[in-house]
Amino acid sequence: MAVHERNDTSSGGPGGIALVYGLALLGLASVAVSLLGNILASFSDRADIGHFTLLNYGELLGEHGLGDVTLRTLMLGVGSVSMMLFFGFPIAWILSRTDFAWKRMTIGVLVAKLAIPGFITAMSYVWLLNPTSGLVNRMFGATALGAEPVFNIYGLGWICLLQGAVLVPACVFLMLPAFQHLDATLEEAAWVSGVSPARTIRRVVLPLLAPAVLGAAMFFFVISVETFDIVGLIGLPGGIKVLSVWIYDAMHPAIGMPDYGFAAAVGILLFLMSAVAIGFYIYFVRRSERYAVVAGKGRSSPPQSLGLWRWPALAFVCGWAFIAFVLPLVTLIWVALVPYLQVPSSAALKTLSLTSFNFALSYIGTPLLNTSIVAAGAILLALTWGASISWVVTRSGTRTGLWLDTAVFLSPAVPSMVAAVAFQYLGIALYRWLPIYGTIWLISLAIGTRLLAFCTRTINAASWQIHRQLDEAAYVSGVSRLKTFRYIYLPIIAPSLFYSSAMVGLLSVRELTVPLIIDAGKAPVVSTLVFQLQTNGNHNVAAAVAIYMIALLVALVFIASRLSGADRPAQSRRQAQGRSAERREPVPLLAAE
Amino acid sequence: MLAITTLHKAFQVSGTSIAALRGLDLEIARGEFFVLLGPSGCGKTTMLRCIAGLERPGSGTIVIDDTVVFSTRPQLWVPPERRPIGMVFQSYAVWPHMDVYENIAFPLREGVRNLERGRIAERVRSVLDLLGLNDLANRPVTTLSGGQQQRVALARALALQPKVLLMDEPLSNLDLRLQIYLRRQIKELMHRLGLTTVYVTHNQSEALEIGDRIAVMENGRIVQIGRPIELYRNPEHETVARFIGEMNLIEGRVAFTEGDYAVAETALGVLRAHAPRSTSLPPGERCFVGVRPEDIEVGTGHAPPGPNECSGTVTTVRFIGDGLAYTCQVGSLELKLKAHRRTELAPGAEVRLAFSPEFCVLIKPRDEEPRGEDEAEQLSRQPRMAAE
Repeated sequence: MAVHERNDTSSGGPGGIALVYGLALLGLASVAVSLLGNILASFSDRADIGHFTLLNYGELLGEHGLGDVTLRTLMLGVGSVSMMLFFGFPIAWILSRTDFAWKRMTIGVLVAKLAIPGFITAMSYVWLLNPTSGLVNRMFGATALGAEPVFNIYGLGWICLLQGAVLVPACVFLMLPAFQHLDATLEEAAWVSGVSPARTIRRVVLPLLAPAVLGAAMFFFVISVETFDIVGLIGLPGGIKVLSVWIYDAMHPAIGMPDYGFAAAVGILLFLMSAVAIGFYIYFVRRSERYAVVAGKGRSSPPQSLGLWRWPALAFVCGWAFIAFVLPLVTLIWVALVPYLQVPSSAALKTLSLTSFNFALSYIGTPLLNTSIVAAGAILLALTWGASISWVVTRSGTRTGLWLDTAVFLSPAVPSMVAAVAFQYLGIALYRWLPIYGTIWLISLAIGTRLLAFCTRTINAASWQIHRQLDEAAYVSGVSRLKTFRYIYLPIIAPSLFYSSAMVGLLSVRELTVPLIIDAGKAPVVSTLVFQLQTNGNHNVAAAVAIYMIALLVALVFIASRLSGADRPAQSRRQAQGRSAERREPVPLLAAE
Repeated sequence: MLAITTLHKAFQVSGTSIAALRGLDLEIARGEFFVLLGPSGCGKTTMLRCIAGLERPGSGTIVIDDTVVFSTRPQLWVPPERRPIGMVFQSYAVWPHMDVYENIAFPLREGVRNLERGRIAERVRSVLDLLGLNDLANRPVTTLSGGQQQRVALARALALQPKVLLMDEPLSNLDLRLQIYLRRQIKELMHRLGLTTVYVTHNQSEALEIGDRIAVMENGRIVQIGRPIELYRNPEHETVARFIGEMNLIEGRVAFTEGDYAVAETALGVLRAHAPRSTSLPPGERCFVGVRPEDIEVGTGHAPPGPNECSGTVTTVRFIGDGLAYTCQVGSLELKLKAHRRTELAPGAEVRLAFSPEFCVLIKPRDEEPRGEDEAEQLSRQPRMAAE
């Protein structure tokens, strides 16, 4: 009786459950702030908050090079996504559709890569390839006076390459389900109709995969233009202006007060760009869901035998792993162990010491504590809001739920940079009543809000799979709604809560963009510490802090990957009653780089 | 014990309103085992969920044990957790993160009943005993079979000591043998406990066997309420006739009525049929004369047919174990017959069919929306698909 399922209007008075609605609305309010705050800020007078003006937009339109910077930002997005797909598409193909013998190892490296944030990857490449002191350039003797450097890291091309390489794991995990669930009978139908396998791939398989691939491309386009990890480490010192650099510059002027108005106006431009991409993303997700329905009944393709092609495939995977994982890690360890940047040599080997690690310990105390608080706060907020929103979305059966879900689903369209500016602006506006401006609390709030979409996706997916009659059985047994939420709903979706917590923890520890914008010198976290050390030329200690950070991230990645395996326990699957097929949500798993 | 008056409920599906219950009235006595029977989409589950408080009706009144739990005038709403009910779901809905004991104890402890520890243990033990679940008390429910899970769900509902027990197709996910075994168990248990039960099913044989009384529903209305034998013997309405057992429906028009009998003009000639007062149809009205296949007497003589008799030709014969099932062509009509295996007839045989008036029933046709007569006739020939 499909009628009931959709229209099971919430019965009973709100009672204690109002608490859950309240939390859900608070989460929504926070999402709204991340955009509305920015809009408000963009109309704010620089000198007088609360006084509204169009001057910021005037300034933006009059800014020298607006066209160039906008175009360069687009190129950054397109370039990064192209590089990402260059690596990611073949790897997803190899993992899902071939008999590649080293799948486990490949997945292991993809997961491990999550422990090496983009800005640390970028930092190690700066050490290797910068034109004046880059280790590789020095090996070629190319840094001598008058010599042309062999490599110059300070170029948009390098930013795109590195950003693309860093996004590969998230991209592969996002596309993999679509690749795996493609119905084999669709291909077989083409073969038995006399179409050659190669042509089948071109005319049947690729078009069917297109929505998933294009959806991923759009999603990561937004992430590419908004993240400051690579741009901040390479573009900023290299003078490569993109919109996010403009926002950063406006927030960190050499002299005087941050210019929120201008930053926010740039943010609106960045948001419009992202909103278009997210619009396409949603369109493609719908398309791929439509295809997935077809695939639902079929079985997946038998793995394609690679034969001798397994060696090129292995070389390709190793090539990516070398660029994204091995080289940065080795460089990092090397730089942390030597007293200053030097090319590996027997002389250099003699200078190896753990001094930088000791120095790092003296720096890391407060930032580590701050990072822990930020992560804990973000987990608390994102999970409380996320679980409440998921309950309203999947259980209340009201229209509110639908709106709430849509609003949160769209929230990734607001770039981190923009959200950070919005929260910072809010922090100032509310300073008199709530002094959280520039503190870790505000960072925590902003990151928690940013990761809310990820949490609701994960929890919704788990929640849709659990039969609503489990809740109803409690109501008719005399248990109140709030107690049912507490003792029935939460325990049953607990696996998804644990997994979300680990991921939110991981992603907030890695986060550089938000703390960099919000930190007003009062709230250093580990990621901004590394950034500052690097910016100040303290490379070796930066490397050592980065290694400590990676150690922490490895632990979190390990926990998250363990929990993702236990995401859907056998017991709740028993209760699923086939609802999973009805609502398979595209979970941007690990995709909030 | 349970009284429902003019209950209405509509669902909003993508902007349009679809009526699920259209003015239902129902009264269920204390200790009665009452079955709501009907095809899927007829509103029986909605009705049950309204009684439970899981759906909010549009208008009407629901009274449980002399307490009004829902009414529109005056506005009154008792939420599900405050109604004196227990409910067993089709999906069992046992909580997967608790063991058997905890599944039963949890609502007693955390719910409105809020019993003290000792009394909870006592009550859980007694229902575990009652349902033979003692050995499973500490097993996680996910390790139980479907039948065992359903017994846990029943135990959980009984432990609440509800005034009314609601059961929503509790057996339909079980295999047939278990269904038949459990339906007897349930019926026997409820009678022993004297518990008022409302039981929803779409399975007519289950309904006939288990119910003290049955309400047959269609399109959000109750078309007939009665004891199982009454429904079988005297279906008053085409829906009931088509839904319960097998019945030949011979279309015609009422000629006149006398006492408990009516005479109708049909394609088989003039037929005299039993017509209780509740089926009174005025002369000239369209009607059916219904007769069950096993109630038609089959003869082979060549004498001209008498009153309530006709002759026809056997078209198919099927052996069905305890007898023979024939189809027989009479004029333009095809009748189903069931006869003892000693009356063996071959296809093509000429037969005489006798319809004893006490086994013929006058039946009200379904309400037709106003439409052309031909179309209406066509529709009435073929059983209409139940509207989803």
